[in-house]
Amino acid sequence: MQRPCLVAVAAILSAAGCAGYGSAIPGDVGSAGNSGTAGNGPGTAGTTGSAGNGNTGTAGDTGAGNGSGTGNGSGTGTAGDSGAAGSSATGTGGSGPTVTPPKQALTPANKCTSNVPGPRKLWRLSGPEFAASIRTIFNDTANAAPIATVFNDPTNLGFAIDANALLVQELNASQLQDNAEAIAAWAASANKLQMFGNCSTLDSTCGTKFVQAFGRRAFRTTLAASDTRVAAYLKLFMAGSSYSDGAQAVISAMLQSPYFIYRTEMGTQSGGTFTLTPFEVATEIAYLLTGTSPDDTLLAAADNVAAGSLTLSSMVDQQAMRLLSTSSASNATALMGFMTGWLGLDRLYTTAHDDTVFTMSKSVRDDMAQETQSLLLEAFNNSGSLSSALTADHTFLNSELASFYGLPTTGLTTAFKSVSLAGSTVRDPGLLANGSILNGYARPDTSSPTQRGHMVRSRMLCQDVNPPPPNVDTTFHPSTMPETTRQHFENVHSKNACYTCHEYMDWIGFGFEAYDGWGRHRTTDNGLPVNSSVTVYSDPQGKDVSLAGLTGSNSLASYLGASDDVKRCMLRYWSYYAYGASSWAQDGCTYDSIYQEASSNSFGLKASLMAIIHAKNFTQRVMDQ
Amino acid sequence: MRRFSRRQFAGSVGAGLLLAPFINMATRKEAQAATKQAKRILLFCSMGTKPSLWTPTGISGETINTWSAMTQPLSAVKANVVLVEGMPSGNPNDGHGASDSLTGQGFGYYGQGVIKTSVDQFVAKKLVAAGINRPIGSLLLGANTSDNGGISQFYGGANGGNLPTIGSPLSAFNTVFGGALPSGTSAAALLARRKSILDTIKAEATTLKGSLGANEKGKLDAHLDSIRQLENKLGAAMPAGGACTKPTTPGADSSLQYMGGLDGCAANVIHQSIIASAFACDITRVACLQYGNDQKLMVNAPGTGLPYDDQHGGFIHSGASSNFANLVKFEAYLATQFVNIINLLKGFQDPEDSSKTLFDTTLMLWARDMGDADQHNQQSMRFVLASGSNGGYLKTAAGGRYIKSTERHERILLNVCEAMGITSYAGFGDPGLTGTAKTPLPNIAA
Repeated sequence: MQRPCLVAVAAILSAAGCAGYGSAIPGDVGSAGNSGTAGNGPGTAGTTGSAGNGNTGTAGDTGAGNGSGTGNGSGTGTAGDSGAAGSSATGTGGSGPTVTPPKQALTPANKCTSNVPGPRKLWRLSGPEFAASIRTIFNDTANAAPIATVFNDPTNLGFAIDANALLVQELNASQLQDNAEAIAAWAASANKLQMFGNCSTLDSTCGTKFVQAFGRRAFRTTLAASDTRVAAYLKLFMAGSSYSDGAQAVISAMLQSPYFIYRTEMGTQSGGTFTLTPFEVATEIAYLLTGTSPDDTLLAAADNVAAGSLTLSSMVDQQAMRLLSTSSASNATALMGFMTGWLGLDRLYTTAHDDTVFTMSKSVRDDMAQETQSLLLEAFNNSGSLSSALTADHTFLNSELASFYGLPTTGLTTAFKSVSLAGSTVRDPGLLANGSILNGYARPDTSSPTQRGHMVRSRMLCQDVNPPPPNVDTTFHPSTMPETTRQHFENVHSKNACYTCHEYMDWIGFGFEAYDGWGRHRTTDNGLPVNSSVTVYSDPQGKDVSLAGLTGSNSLASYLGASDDVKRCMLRYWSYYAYGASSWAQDGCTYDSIYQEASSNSFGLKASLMAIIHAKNFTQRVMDQ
Repeated sequence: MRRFSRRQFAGSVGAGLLLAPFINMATRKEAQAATKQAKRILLFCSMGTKPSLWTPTGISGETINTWSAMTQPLSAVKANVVLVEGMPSGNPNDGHGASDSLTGQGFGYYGQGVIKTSVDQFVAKKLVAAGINRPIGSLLLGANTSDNGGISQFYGGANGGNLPTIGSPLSAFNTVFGGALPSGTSAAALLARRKSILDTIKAEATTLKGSLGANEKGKLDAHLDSIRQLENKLGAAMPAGGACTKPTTPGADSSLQYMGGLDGCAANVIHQSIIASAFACDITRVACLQYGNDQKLMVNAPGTGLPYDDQHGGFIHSGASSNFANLVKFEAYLATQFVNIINLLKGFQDPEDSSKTLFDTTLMLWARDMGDADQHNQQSMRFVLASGSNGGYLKTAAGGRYIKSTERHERILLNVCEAMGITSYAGFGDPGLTGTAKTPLPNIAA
């Protein structure tokens, strides 16, 4: 099975063949799944079975791609025999188990039979988390620390967070060493050492204080004096030629340590499950809600749980609500870290446009990004849901963006404010009419019903569509006659086998045709009236009924806002983002509990996030395989 | 050609290199083989292209009379290049993301005991087994190779894992050449500290492993293997003599930003110099430079007339109306970069043989993820091979050579192995290929 073209769903239009669209690579190495269909759209792929690990698995019909495993040997995939252990050779891959490659599609939830959580795991810090954590450790609000770009991680299902994809491999250790040493030297020169231990002598007392203080922040836990790691790092400290030298050695070492690089989610065993430690849970809360390591308040709360003066569940609720308070500056991180990946909002900056047709400034792009963030944050902070953002009767504008949209600028400045678009004939309100989405899913010179429809189908409805079959001409052939973009796409994609897939995409995407490839409103296209009627055909698996009679992004937004599929899809992707794994045994238990709690709170965005935090999987695990 | 004395070498490199001062490096004796052998390989990897616009337009036998617009820049080094196309992969219908390109295996091709190892990794492992243990086993560079859900599918580790590239030029530079020796310490003291730290970290990883299942252990095994590679680098000796110079220290990534991200083309220009110097300093014998990934490369190439656009979505899939004019321009740009690397290598002497340049002792291979990127298939994979005129591996012609073959493309990968003196291909490529099909393509080697 081919890996489909991630690009340009809309850039591909053929007079004779099917248009291609984007999708992630199905996994390979070991067995891939059954006849899943490769997906499309950014980050989603076909529903393949579990990729086997071990290098001897056989790829399935679909979903073969590349895994990120290292070593060989027996794995826990659904197929694949145990490969022979490789020999360990200096400088090359050694022996050992292979890491199961990430799933390239959201597979159906595994049935819940005994209400168990997911498995324990190690979760390497993502590139942004790695950098943010270093800044947090040193209170580096000026962004002065010379943090190197160490990791080059693949995106999977729209996010670069999969715990099985984030590895330390090849030259990463060398890069980590270089980075750690540079940070240590900077910390000394920037007078940061006194933050830790408040002493400055080369002796074991000061050294222990330093190790414990720095270790608390770097390892995200309290290091008791009896912890063997304290003795190990004290030894490094005492080998220094001075306090500063010893401190730098400790900093350098700790920033290369697995206890810094990885978030451990291992817990302590009680019966058949493992309860994550207070510090592990504090770490989860911190990275999910703030994108960085726990602050002192969160660590202190974890101390209280460890001391027995606070329950774990109380810590979770108190600290989550503290960090998610309405005025919290980190709410943008908590929300947009997910939304950007789920909806592909960064495509606003990466989707190329033909400047010879129209040039849009980066400033306007930034405005569009701010518009979407403001709309989503408003819903988040006011107990609203995704539907609130989809069906809002307003948007957020500043004078520049209003002018770009052709809207009145009266009363607007450079600052953003809510602007009612109720009854507007110039622009639709709500999320789907945001420039960030319209620009991100477009061809360089026109709109793209295929891309926009595919985004809705795969990212919002979680209904994957097959990629173009092999050897089909996916070349884009521009129109040769006076016709609208819609007419052109209809004419080409109604023919031959193209329609069998494109009906699921284009006929949704036509609802956006009141906007060109730059998000500008239009009533005519190539001099002809725009037709933005929508038909949402039943899903590719035929579980739903088709829906016709919608027109424009407003009615499409109402449909999607009310759709249970969209709610479940959002929760599923958010769970992936929060847990770093898209599937595990009986994961249906987790998804069901999240859905139930979110439902009881009208699927409010903040409530949905809290539902993920309240799920058993957030604080308990089973033994990993 | 730049030729530096031993003193100049030490002055320009020694202060900045914190490698152990020991030790005899095993040097490979020149084999008395029938084929001329290279000492290093450089893989230049990019997306598939539009075949009809790539093929030279004037060919007589193997002679290239008229180059296509895409390949015209290669004519500057025509006496050193061999163009090959027509070779199907083992999975001709594979498209994006298939690892056929450098492994000989693709999506649907997995049998018992098959490891998806790319030729660069296979060669790197063989070098170590032969006692050629350079500080860096293989140097995989390339900016923005993870964008948009794409991955560095070109490179498959010796145990089947997919290997990322280093995208940041500064990070690549520091990884290859090391940072400056901090004041107040000696190279020996720093090395001792580094070893102590690595011992501490390894002990921690081993402790963590003890309570984990197989999958999680695998993560730490990869980490420990990465540390082993670092230890190898720290413990390796630098060659004496030769023309080893570091390139200028790159600026921070922030100085290479374009449209909110790292400028891939600009970064890769810097990577070219890093690779050339890494070869000149014999820090590695295997290097790869990757342009984008199987899905995307945002192209910012000032001076080419190209718009800022995605190679695949823009130039390839949306290029028909202009007969792929932008794709042609970009392919010509890539060809220019390929030639640029050749010129860089020509500018350094071989660290072991001052009578030769690096280019004479390097085999370059331009490989792609697909054959036809527009149609998404691998029915005709194409390569550009290059080597120097003074004892280079390739059989060349004054006007350039063009070969069309219907043999499996893996055979060219076996040529790469042959060039490095490797004659046993067990554990590489398609195990289903046997006999003649599992040998290098004839008429390639000199």
